[in-house]
Amino acid sequence: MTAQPTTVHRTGSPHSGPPRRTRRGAPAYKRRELLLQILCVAPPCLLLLALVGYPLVQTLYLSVMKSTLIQRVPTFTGLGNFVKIFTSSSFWTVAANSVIWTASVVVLQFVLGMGAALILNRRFFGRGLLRAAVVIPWVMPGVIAGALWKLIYEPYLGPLAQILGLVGVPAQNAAWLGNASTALFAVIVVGAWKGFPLSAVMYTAAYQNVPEELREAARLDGANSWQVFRTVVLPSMAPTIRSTLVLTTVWTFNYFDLVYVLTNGGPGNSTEIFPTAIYRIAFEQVNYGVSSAYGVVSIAVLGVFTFLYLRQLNKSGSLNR
Amino acid sequence: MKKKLLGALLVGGLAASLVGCSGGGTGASGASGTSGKTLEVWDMQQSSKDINAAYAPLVKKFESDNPGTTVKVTAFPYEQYRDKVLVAMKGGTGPDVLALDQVWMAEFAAGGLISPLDDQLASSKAIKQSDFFTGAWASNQYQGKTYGVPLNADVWEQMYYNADMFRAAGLNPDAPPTTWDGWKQAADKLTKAPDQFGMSLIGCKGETSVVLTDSLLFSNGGKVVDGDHAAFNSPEDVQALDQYKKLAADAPAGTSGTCEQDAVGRFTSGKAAMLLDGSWQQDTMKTAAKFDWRIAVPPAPDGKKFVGALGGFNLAMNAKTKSSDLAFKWMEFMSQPDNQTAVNSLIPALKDVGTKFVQANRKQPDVVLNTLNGGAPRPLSPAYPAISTAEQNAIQAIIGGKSATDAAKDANTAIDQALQDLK
Repeated sequence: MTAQPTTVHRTGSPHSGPPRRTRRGAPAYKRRELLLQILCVAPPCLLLLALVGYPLVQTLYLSVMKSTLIQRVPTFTGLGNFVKIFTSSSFWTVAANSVIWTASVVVLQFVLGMGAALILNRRFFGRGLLRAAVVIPWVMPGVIAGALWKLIYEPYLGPLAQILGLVGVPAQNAAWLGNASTALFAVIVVGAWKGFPLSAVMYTAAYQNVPEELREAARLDGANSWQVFRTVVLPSMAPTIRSTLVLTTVWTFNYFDLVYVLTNGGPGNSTEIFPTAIYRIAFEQVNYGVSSAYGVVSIAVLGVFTFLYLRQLNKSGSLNR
Repeated sequence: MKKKLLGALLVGGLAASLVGCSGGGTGASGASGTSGKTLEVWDMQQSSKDINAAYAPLVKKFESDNPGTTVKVTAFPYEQYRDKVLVAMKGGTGPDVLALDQVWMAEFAAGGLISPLDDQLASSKAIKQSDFFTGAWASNQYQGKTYGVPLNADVWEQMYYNADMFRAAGLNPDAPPTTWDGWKQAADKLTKAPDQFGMSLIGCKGETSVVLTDSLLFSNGGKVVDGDHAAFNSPEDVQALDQYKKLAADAPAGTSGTCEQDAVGRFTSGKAAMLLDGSWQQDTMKTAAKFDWRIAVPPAPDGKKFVGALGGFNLAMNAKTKSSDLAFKWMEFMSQPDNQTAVNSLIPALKDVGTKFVQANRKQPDVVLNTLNGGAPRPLSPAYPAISTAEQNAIQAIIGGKSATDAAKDANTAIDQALQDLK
């Protein structure tokens, strides 16, 4: 770097003397800059307030009210809605389904995403095409993906039944989506298929950012590829993995259209998760009070999870290690 | 300096425009008017008849009879209809006139979403109660007032059966089963899993499985609700649910996800030999069933007669409409014989018109009319959605393997709870 020029002439130049100060003591240009910053931040804040803040407050308000199609004017009912849902067995089924659904899909998406990232980082013929193709499930609208997999799972005419028949599996004509014992599992498979491309893309980028020198060093020290992966690659990718896991957890927990189209929460309520339950209670049974109570519980669960997760990250050295 | 000012102005302008566009959706005000000149009408579609196309010439005629008016009619598939109606009505953007399922009338009336029509009906020359089927008119009553004008009335259900498959299985297609035991035996004979099945049963979460099961209950002398408490776990009801369970064993896998259109598809593709559905589905059969398809009265328990579950739609007036005079004129217009016939795939609600319609369009019209006249209504209560949900859960549980007794007991508790919540 070149050396800075020497002292500024203080006398005789038009801008001599200290900068002009206003009565408050802050320079005028700094106040203009502050005003500009406020104006820049205002639109997103207004949007957040309108699109997130208002519905949140409305949900909290309705959750302590009795509000149905017939009870047009909401009346205060305190914790009545919460008592009602916590003492109903269907709530606990929904909660259990949501936890199983979220955990399984996130884990599967991680495994599939990481696998796809590793495979797609090697050079082979057709890699470009495969990289484009792998994104298709994620880009497909959830409703169409649901309709597509409903056809795939069709017990007699669907491709899955045909393939199982060729292989000779006795359960070839099982109704995967129609049996309470297999429906959640079948829906989880579709959820993992739908979302893994996002993880694959994130992990591909992170993998490419792992310094080659570290890997070389590990290999020189005698590590085999699995050890290189475990001790060098994974820790380097850790920040991306952590943020992707948080994102996929929240998105999966709130996923509505796929499950709704596939099973509508059925059979019974074996695939009813929080979003479908809230929709059903709000719009089919028209009970805004109870569905808002479900909503508050849903937000609380996600909020607690995110808080604990981020606190754990801060403890172990922050997102940017 | 200039750049910063320009930047600040742009950002300020953006913020202002955002504030401006948030107030756009609240156009519908609370006051209802009487002399609007535009009309929005909603109807529903349940078979393959194109209802939207059927309305087009009627709209033109109405507009020319009432100069200066504009009418827009939309027909939605039944499976989505309730969702659309609820969201729109609650949000204040609903149509002026809408077709409502009979079992939703009490709920919408109790919620203040539709207006009573007694004043207009008293002075109307075009609409007379005695012209309509009794059951259809009765479904419009709530707390002594009339809230709608019947558009159509129908009954669940008929039994469709594939005569070719009957012959192949050694059964006489001219003598379909008439008792529940005979029904089960026929279904067993016709089932050669996984290639063909005896029954195509509707079991998905929705009103259609409820109304089908109700017809089994009613035929056995059972009830859903008795006065203001539940009557769902009487012995008659449990026997009927048990019959449903037996039939489900002869249906293809996945009955708990089979809705009306899926069940029809199983029948028309030759996968299942018998189907329980309403007479409106004959429109679909005419084009889609390429085999010798016949209808019969569904079997009843030994010594009893089949009782169907009544259904149908009524025209109701949005309480928030600004065109109530025009809306009532539309209802009178739709109560004219030709108009009612043109837009319906369910039986028109006017007695003469309905009878002629059935005789012209349905196989075995006497069977259809007898079932219609002998049918019983589902509970007409504002709590009906919760009652229906309880029944749906029972049906899903039974398909999933629960015993009819347990499922009926749980549903009974839920129905009692729903009726209690009303008070």
